[in-house]
Amino acid sequence: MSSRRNASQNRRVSHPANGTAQTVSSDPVEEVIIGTKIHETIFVFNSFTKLKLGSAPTLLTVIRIRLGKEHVNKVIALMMLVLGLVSLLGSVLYSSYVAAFIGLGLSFWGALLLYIIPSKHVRLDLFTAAASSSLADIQKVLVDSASVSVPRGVYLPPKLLKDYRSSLVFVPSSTSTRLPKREEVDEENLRSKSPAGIYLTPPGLALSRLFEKELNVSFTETDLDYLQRELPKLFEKLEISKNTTVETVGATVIVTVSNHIFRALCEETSKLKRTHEAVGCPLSSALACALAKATGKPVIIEKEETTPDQSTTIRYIVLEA
Amino acid sequence: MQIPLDFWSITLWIAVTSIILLITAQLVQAYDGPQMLLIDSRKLRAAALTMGTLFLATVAIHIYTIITTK
Repeated sequence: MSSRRNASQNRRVSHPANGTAQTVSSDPVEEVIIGTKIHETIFVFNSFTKLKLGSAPTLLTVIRIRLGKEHVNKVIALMMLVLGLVSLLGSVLYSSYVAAFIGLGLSFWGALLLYIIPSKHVRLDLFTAAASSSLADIQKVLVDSASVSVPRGVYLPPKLLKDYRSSLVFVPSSTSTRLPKREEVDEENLRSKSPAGIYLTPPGLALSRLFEKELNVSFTETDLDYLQRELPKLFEKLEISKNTTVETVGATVIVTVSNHIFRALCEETSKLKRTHEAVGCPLSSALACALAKATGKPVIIEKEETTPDQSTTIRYIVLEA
Repeated sequence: MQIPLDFWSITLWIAVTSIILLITAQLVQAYDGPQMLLIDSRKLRAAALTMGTLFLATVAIHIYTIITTK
């Protein structure tokens, strides 16, 4: 009987985005979802499923779901700020002691809330899920390229590239394959005939550019000492890791990053063996891009391992140009 | 037309606000779970320390005033 009642409450509506028919309840709570985009619909539906068991959603709940948590927080903070300023103005006009305190408090907390709300908050698992697909693409390219037998990719220095701010990985076809000359490097094409191999965009290129933006410097204008000094501070500032060390032993650079936020993504990359060996995970790739730019020499990722204490140690070899 | 708050009132307000902020900044660091309000804890700590410093500055001004008026 219960199922029959539910069926009678439901009705079929045409979705505005794709025109497909959907079964939507006539319950007023669920009316809100009609007319929204498909991803919003799923989110709103899931949110209201819980609410249906209790009372009807409040206006604030609907606004929160429509605008998103961050926007609601900003709207509330702005309202507090405006109310505070109005109250302060009123206190000056009417010489009111109470209104002055209320105005001071509201405007201060409004401004503070605007200041302390982070610009963007993304769940780590969403970020990992979004990034791992592009790594699977690199894996397909590497597996598809039958000629490529050497697993290690070489991060080319800026002097070999047409755009010195960019980065490129060259995966040679064999161990005897030489590195390409500047005029041979074709950043637009995937495959190279002379020397034989493939060119790939490093998975950590965007991340290394973000590092440059945060440091307000191009790595091409820096050196290894600068990276050793600034990378630990930068990683702490960006909340990637609280403990990072960069050591140099001859031509080997060892970077140890403890308990970093890219752990899950690096674990995903390690499942894609060819990708992991050729270009590394986005974090090690970004660091390789930075090293290639800072040293001005080709760099390869020799080894990348994560210890049980959640520290990732990456060994880079700086090749002679 | 003038602001009806004197220096003592503002000092008191800063003192109360800085205490609230300093306690909140410490509690936010210890709290790890679903949050109703997204907070950049580093910025909150910076704001708390600024308010604390501002309060100490007002106290210094008071002490200086007391010394110079005697």
